[in-house]
Amino acid sequence: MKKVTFLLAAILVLGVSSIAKAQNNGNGNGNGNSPAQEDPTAAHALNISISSYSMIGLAGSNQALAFEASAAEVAGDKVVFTQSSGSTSLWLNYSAIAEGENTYKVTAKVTGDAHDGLDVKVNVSSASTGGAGETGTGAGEIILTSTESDVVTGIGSCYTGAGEELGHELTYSVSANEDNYGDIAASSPSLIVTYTITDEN
Amino acid sequence: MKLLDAISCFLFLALFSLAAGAQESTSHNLGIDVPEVALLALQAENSSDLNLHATPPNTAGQQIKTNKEEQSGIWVNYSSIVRENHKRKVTATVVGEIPQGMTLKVKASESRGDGKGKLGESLSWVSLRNGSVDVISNIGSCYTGRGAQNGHLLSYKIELDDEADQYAKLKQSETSLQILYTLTDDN
Repeated sequence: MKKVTFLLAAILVLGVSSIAKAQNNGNGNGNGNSPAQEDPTAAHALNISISSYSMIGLAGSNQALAFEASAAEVAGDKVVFTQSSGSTSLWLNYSAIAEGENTYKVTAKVTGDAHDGLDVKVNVSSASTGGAGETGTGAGEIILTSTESDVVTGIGSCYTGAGEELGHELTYSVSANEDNYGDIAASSPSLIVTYTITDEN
Repeated sequence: MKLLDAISCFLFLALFSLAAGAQESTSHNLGIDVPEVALLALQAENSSDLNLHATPPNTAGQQIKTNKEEQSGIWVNYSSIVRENHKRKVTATVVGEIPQGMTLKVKASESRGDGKGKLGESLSWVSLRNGSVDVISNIGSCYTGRGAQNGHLLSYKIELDDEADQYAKLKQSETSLQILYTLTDDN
């Protein structure tokens, strides 16, 4: 009986010492060097960074567009241009994260061979669904020149979605400028249209 | 010498029989006080700061990349002694302002290392906020072991807020937060 009692006491004492050990073991802290703290709370630092950026791309299965002037069929008519190859619509895709309340815009310009007497126009639609955030406002139809023209304005933090049918639809047309009709020459000018996303402010 | 041994032996037997004859059993009280214990600490594997980044997409038109999981290298250690049929949990609270347009999530691993007892269970990914959210549940009487590689390893990630019109609120920013963990009763 005594042996049993002693054994029980021994087990209980062992049990208590385990608990005491557990308390000591649990007393860690953030850096392992500071004195132990008996506290059910602890905290650590965490930093989150978001960088600003802007990216632009064009989508369209055939981005080499060609327009041909069909000779006037009836004497007295002006020359008319029709698209002979390339996608009839291209799509302007972009992604942006803004800095504070600043916004971005997209500009376009045309470079390449002289095309006097001809207007190269692009119609820029409003942004399609499929993106999110503060997408910009399409300019509608504008005449492209060798200097930058705003084609989308007021772009905040957003994305349009990548690919065709996403972002702003671009449709091109070429027409004779009636005020400078006399400058039109029989030629085959080759042009490059460049879109740039840039700070608006 | 033999005589001395004989006397010693006699005295021992005499005393033993006297004691045995005086009382057949005896007892005394033994009180044990097991206090409740609730201790929690965070142990970092290294001293470098924990940084989460939102990065630009690969292609124009795509959304910002945020969902890369980041193992923090920070371990939750705790010791707990509970009353019978009681449980505890670990909650987390953000001190500071999470950048708008995104959600900050944390996941505690299942307990690893030298722990013993009724260790807690991970609640997987949970969204953090400026109020307490449960991260580990079902903690009974246990200890995780002390230091890195013991207890629950924390992982973090940021995700875009799914609610409409939140994307426009994402702005260039550098945000420093404190994440506060508490071992508390789960009643």
